[in-house]
Amino acid sequence: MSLPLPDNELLAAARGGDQAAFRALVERYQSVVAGVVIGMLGRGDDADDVGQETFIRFYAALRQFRGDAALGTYLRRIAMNLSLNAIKRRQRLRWRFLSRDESSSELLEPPVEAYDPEAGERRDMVRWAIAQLNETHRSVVVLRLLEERSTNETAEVLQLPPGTVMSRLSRGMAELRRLLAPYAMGASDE
Amino acid sequence: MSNDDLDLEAALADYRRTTSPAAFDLGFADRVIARVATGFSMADGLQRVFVRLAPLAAAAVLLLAVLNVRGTAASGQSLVDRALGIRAVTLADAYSLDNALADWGVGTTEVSK
Repeated sequence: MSLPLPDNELLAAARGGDQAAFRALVERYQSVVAGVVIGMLGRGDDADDVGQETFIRFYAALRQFRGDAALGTYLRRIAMNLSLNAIKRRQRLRWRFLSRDESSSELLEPPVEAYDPEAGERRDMVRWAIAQLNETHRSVVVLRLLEERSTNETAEVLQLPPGTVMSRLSRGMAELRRLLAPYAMGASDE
Repeated sequence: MSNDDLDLEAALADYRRTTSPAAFDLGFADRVIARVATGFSMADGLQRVFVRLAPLAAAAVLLLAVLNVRGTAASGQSLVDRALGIRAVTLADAYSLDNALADWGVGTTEVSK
């Protein structure tokens, strides 16, 4: 059985028009892109579309990609930017269809499944709480806490100074703590 | 670190442990490759046509500009006007335009019955 080709060889072949090589890169990195996109948008058609668009943008930019950043970081950056665009699109659509008297905070909620306290699963609770964060905090929380990227890599993906990442993370965690307090903290005392 | 931090970190660790890794639906790579194939075949075709035609078009424009400049050496117009083949507008041109409009029935004061 042959060893899988390293990224740089697959990249060189893909640049030369080898679709099998590009496909191998998609298969290798789809979980990386899925982690960002599904973390930001939740599961569904939107996430699949943004995932596809990420690789299409990458394909279009193959010749410009010089390998200054690791391929995973580069793809995470594209996926994050497209996810943030998708969130803005959702918000615009909801603005269009919602009446003016509805609260603006509702507009920031992504359409993920609502949390049912009766179901009581900690996992659902955390997913629900992350979905309530605004996109600025959510992007940092997804990369740092769910994807377990370092502060520096998160900063590189988001093109922010590491200090900003840390302050946003701190605010995001405070917000998560506030959202989870009625459920998680109570449950842990039982 | 406070107890709240511990609780949140425990909840997040629990979340990571119990949640299956994020993944797209089956056939994701096929969908990407299909979109790449359809999206780029047309773009590549247009690019090839453009690359072939653009130098020819640029050469034709340059040739016409040179011919225009050479053919209007004594006109006293600016080089740009001569290169673009723009005629100098004189008072006679303005009157001839009036006459032409009158011939076409435009801009005259007569009302047709």
